[in-house]
Amino acid sequence: MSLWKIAWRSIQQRSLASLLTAISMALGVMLVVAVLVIYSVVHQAFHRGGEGYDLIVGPAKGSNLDLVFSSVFYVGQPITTLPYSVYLDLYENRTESKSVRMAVPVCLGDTYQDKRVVGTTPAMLNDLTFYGNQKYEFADGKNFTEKNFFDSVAGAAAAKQTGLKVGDKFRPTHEVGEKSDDKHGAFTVVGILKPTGTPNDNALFVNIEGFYRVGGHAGKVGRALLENKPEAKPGDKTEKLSEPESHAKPDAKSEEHHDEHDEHDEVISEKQRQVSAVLVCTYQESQTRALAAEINKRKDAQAAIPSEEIFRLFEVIIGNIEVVLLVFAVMIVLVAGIGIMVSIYNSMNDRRHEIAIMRALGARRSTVMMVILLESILLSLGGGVLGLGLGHGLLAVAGPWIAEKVNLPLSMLQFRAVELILIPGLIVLASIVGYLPAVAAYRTDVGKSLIANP
Amino acid sequence: MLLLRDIKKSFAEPDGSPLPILDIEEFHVAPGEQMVMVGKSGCGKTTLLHVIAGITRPDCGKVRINDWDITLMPEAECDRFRAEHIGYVFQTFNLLRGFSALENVMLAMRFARLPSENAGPLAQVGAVLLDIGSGLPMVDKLANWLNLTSPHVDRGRAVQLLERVGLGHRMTHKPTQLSVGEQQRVAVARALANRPKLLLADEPTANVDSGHQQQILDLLSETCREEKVSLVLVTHSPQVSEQFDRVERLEEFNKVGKNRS
Repeated sequence: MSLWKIAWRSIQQRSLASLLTAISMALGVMLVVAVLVIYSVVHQAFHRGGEGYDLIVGPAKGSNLDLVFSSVFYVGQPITTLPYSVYLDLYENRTESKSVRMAVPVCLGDTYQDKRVVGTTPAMLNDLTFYGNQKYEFADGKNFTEKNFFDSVAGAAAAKQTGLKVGDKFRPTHEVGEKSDDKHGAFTVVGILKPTGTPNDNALFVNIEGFYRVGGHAGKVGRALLENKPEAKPGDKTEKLSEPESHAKPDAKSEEHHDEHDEHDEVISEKQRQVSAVLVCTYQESQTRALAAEINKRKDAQAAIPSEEIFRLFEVIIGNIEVVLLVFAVMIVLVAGIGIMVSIYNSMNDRRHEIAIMRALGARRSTVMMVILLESILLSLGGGVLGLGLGHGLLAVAGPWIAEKVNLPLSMLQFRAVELILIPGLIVLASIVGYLPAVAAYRTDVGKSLIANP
Repeated sequence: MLLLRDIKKSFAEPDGSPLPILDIEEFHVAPGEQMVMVGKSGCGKTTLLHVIAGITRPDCGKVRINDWDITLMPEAECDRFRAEHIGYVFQTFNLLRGFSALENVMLAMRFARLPSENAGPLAQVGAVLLDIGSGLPMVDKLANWLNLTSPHVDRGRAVQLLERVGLGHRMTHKPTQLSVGEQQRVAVARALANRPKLLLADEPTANVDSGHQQQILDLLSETCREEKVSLVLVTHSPQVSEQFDRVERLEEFNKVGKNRS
């Protein structure tokens, strides 16, 4: 008969107290598991958004973090806009370093049912990738093309929450929460993206040419450019049409279904254009920093490396939150551990007699001490395993709801390697909290205990 | 076999003053001898058995069992010696409530087969590890390979003993599911489990009916005779004492009792 069995029998004898003690440990471990997994999910949610391109170039006003918030997470409004020439320079790789592989413009400011409307080029979904170098895929329909100015693509969550389907039309508004009106032209949904787990799931992508042609964007752009951007003097690159070549004028046939847009054939000059940001890919990782430095020398633009900004944001804010949550969860585990100690210690009065019997039968002091320690370990491990199950079970149940909230197609049954530390950690904790009652068992006076508790 | 010399034992009164219980100049039991100790309640009979078993240390004096003086043994060694060489039937049975009748008998065997604590620190650690892992086939094999004593117990003997005390059909019952008499019989079987050289029985028939009383006495007597075990039986029952050749009254050789009387 092993000492494990002897310890187990002791637990069975006090089944209710043991069960309650193990449950308190289980709740603590469940919280630790929940914090670890949710942190992992949030971590991915943050970092997924910043992958797929190397650099974000935005207007010089505001901080890098502002730029990341507005351009990556679509949170808040862009502070100001970026001259179109900056985009052209990047697009045509007219930088000193000649390191730009791809540049994709992003125009922000409009929404539809609180979903961010992003004016961009087809390259955004054709050529850029997301988390883990994955290509954007379509659940329904296809990407919009350069030719059809008023075509759009809906992110998975945006389509689900707005009810937009392929073939539906929608009219963006200028402000979040503002009701749609007829001031803006209607965009036709031609594709629905599969879920990506990035903020793009919540966005509606429209052709940048259409974006300029609705709601007076181009006019505003022109005025803003003239008022705020002294370097964009009238006459500079004036009347340059919808460049680059990918933004070719639509042919008449393909525009038939957009005949309600009066702005169709409007020619928008470079002066009238501006962008909120440009997403840039370089040829090599090493070129990214050099290009960022080069752009940051300019007075009208700044560059941010999204992965670094997100990392900083995460470490400074979210990372601390995880530490705080983990500290609380670990404290709960510690309290549960102390509960085990109190439970076993309180039972020592009743058990002194049994310990004395074992000793009288020849059990060594170290043997009875080990029985108490094993009992503590069994309770902790039992509670720990139960907590692991409860933690992941809870996340599996709440998973779909959480996934919807953070737009992550993630299984909540995922495990984190750090969870493996939990088991040896619990053994150490159990050994520590079991030590005091074990010493009490060790010190039991056999003769007195046999006489005192007949 | 058993020799007590100049044994003194006292306990502390609530006010701290010593309360002498035993003061025995000499007491001996020959190998294989069966004797009965009688005496008034509170005269120190149970304390004397505890001192002989090494459960309670005397204030002074020697307790020799065969060639060993257990008063000189370190506590761990004394525990091991008790488990291997002394069987003890407690007055209040002292069965472990969480274990079945069979397990109670097997536990006594298990503790008797623990590795020695005489060795160095490394062996001590090994002993503890062996103690934790015993029962696992791999650990038991390792113990055999290392020529260590495995705490594996002889289940067959435990079953045989329980059958012998008439509890073959109650082996899986826990003490709370057994009558008082049945518990006493389990205690007797447990005391005999390790083939002790000395059997100490504290009122072994106090709680059983007359039929089972004789059964238990016969079991103790026969087993002691067969295995050449010395028996020291404490009782207040004349019916019990009259069945033994040697009957000692504790007050006769305990100076504390003499002074009190």
